Amino acid sequence: MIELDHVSKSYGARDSVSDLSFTVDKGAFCAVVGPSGSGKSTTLRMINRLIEPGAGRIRINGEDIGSLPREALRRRIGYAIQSVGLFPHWSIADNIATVPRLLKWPEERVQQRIDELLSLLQLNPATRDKFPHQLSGGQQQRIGVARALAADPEVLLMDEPFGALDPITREALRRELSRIHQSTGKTILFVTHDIDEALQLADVIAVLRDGKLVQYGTPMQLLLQPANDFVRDFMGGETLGLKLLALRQVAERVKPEPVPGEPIAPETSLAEALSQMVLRRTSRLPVRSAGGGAGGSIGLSDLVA
Amino acid sequence: MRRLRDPLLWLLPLLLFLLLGMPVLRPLFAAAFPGTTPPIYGDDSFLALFLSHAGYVALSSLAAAVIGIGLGIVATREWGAEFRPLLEALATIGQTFPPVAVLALAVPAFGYGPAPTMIALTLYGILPILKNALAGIGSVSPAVREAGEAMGLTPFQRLRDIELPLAAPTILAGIRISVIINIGTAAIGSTVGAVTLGNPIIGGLVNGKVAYVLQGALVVGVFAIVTDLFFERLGRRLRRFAARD
Repeated sequence: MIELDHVSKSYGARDSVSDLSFTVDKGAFCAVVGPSGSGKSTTLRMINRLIEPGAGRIRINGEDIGSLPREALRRRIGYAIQSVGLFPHWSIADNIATVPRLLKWPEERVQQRIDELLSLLQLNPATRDKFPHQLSGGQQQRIGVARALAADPEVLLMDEPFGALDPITREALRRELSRIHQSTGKTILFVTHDIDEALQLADVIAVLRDGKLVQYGTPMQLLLQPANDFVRDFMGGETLGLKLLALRQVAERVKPEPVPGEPIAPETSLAEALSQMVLRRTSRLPVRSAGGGAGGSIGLSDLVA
Repeated sequence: MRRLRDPLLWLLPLLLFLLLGMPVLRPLFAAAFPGTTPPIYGDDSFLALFLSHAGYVALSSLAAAVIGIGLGIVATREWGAEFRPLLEALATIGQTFPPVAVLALAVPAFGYGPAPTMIALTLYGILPILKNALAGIGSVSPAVREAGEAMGLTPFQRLRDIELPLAAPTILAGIRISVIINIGTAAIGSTVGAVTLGNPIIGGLVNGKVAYVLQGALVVGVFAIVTDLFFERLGRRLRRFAARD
């Protein structure tokens, strides 16, 4: 659990973050979104004290982070950034082992952990002995995430980790992060300016503007009850309806009326179903049943219901 | 076969031959310079001159490396950042100052003998090392720095395990420049009372004995080239471990 309690930070006369309070529950995936200069990276970097907060308290699992030595705190928090920052003179294995070695894990356990993480991030075991410059951008970012997860931290902080990657690699890594989040149950704080990324990954989203919290809620709350025009515009403005469709699954709207054709899966998003309707020039699509029995269908009018 | 093309393989034996076997060349020099007696410089053995010369260079370069790298580290710390522009300017401007002038200026300050040579060599040697230490440590990417900090490395661990290894090839290049310049400058130290391979050169020039000038210059030249090749090889080895991202 991460608690921000009236946290402020100013540079000169300008407030970078002002009076920020929100709580991320244990195991939640929280996206911090906002335009450039809204203070989202500053917020993230105060949590591992790369930046010291000017005022207020930050607690992790109830413990005030100001009461811990900085290095000890950071070794308990995973950190991944857009520019990755792998150590170029260390092998991939040594890069991943950074924090476990700082924590003086026995070498046997370190080696075992490196293997675990390579397989968790679906990397070839031969990557172990390579050096960062020998890897592609996507592979480097996977190593960056593996390094952040290495010492099994309670909290994972990520600052636009996939921002520099091509769309296909980015999508693959988002899916993997989602899977890792589900399997490890880590509390994740994820900074992004890409609202689609936030909607796809997060359980809860904090919208920042000019260092202030504008709205904090689930993706559904933000889409259905945006606090103001800024949030509405940031969430997509005119295309807000489509984002809403992207969050819901066909299974919620399926009708027991079978129609012929290639069925779509029940976990398909409503946005994808709409896309299929357009592509197939039909207003009703067959849906495969979840249990294996008789399927149903979904119609255009079901999307808006 | 490729190993045979390594110039170090025949230049190192050549240096050893010049240091120990110069008397073998006596007939050659006697024939070329009939007026010079003895045909080979004989006030000191070339080995003794070399050891003294190399000693000056080694000691002054070591001191210069310690001071230069030390200052480079200080100026790249958060608390020492104020000194950085000053040191950078000093290192750059200082290097345009000819080493001979430094030596000349050291004499009125420290008198004749080994002292002015040692001091001039050390002071001048600091500059390229400092400049490269600042450049090398400064070129560690901000992402790598931030990652090191965020992983929980202490400031000392970041310096020892990240910054210095990444800056090592650049720092070594600075040491190489410094040592090569000092090998040349130390020879001129003979004019102010230091015992170096410059003795036969200066003595030969003063007394019109070209043979001595040639002998001294040959040894100093081969010494410089061998040293440079040695540094080149060391640099290649370092870069292999510190491939940049």
